[in-house]
Amino acid sequence: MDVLRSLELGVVAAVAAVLGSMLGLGGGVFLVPIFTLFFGVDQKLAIGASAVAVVTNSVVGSSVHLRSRFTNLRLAMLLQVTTASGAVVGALIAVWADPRAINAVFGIALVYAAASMAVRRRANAADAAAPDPHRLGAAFDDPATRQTVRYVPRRVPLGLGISGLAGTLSGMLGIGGGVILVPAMNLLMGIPVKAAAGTSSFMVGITAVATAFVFYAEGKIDATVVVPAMVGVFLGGQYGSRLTRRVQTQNLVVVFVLILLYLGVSLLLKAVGITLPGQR
Amino acid sequence: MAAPPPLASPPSDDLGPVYALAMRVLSIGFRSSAAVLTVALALALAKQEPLNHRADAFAEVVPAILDGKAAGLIDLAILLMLATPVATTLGVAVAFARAGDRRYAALTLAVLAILAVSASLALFGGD
Repeated sequence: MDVLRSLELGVVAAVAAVLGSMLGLGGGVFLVPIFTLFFGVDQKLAIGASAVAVVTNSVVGSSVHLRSRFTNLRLAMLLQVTTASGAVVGALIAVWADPRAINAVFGIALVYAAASMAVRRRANAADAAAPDPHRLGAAFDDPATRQTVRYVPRRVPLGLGISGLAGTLSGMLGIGGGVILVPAMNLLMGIPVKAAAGTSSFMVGITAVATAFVFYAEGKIDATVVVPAMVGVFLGGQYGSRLTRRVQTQNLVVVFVLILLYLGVSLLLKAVGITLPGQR
Repeated sequence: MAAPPPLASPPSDDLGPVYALAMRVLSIGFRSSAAVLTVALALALAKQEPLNHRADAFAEVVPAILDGKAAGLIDLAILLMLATPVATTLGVAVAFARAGDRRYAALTLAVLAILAVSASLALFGGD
């Protein structure tokens, strides 16, 4: 066992989980590019490891969101139908696709994530009195305002379509899909941010399982990468959750946007055969 | 400065048992996986056994564990972690059905069916 390499991968996974927790993401958007660009991990093995790490992060974090009722279980299961379907299709594409194509798609996804984070807007207040034919309306107590927040999701068919897209990208790239799901639920469906993050946190675990099984079947689960990723994500996720309460995450967004842009551009360049200094 | 208003009472609905079951299954799954992984890593260190670069096929996991290989236990820990969201989904389906919410019980079963397709690829699609 290469202990030093395992430690390095574990530390990277822990840092990714801390950053992910603070930004409401799963951390997968950081793991795959860093594993491939800086550790020379095979792209497919990195995606498989990231999928398992995303499941771990979701399993650890979802209980907190469920207890707070930030997770809307009815909405999660409805959207999960298209998300999980997309993930299976995306994972099958990823297993057989040219790594350069994956790098290009991942690069575009990271640049999109950076842009959406940079121009993050707030949704209009949720309309709790709107018609609720699908019985998706829910409520939770917000500890920050000490008030009960009630909402009814809007534009459900659009949400289903975007969830399918998020699932496909998740399957292709080994990410949880929260980077697409959370803004879509908040901005397009009018779901409060905490409920969107809590529902997404629960969903990404199920989505990533669909991806991970496909990669397991194809022999793309490498314990020397997966185990450090699992342990690192567990420890980092716990620390990140606590840190989030004390740190003003808005102040860190600029740094994260720059990191995502750097990783996204690096992958786009790699897709056309250009490797930046210090990368593999 | 005026004191903050008292926290409103938790929203009440009929989904309490659904949430409680989901939390319980997640907790059991995580604890099981973490315990097996801890034992596996301790065993790997004690025996100086290298980690596998490729996870064993499902059929090979139990024989590897019976042979006392840490790699088999690590595969089991990974599979327990992957099984946890699946078991949670199953639990949520059962809890929705018990709560009389047939529509969402059926939707949750549809999600399980999609996961079953994915898992069957892992079970039968490997070389």
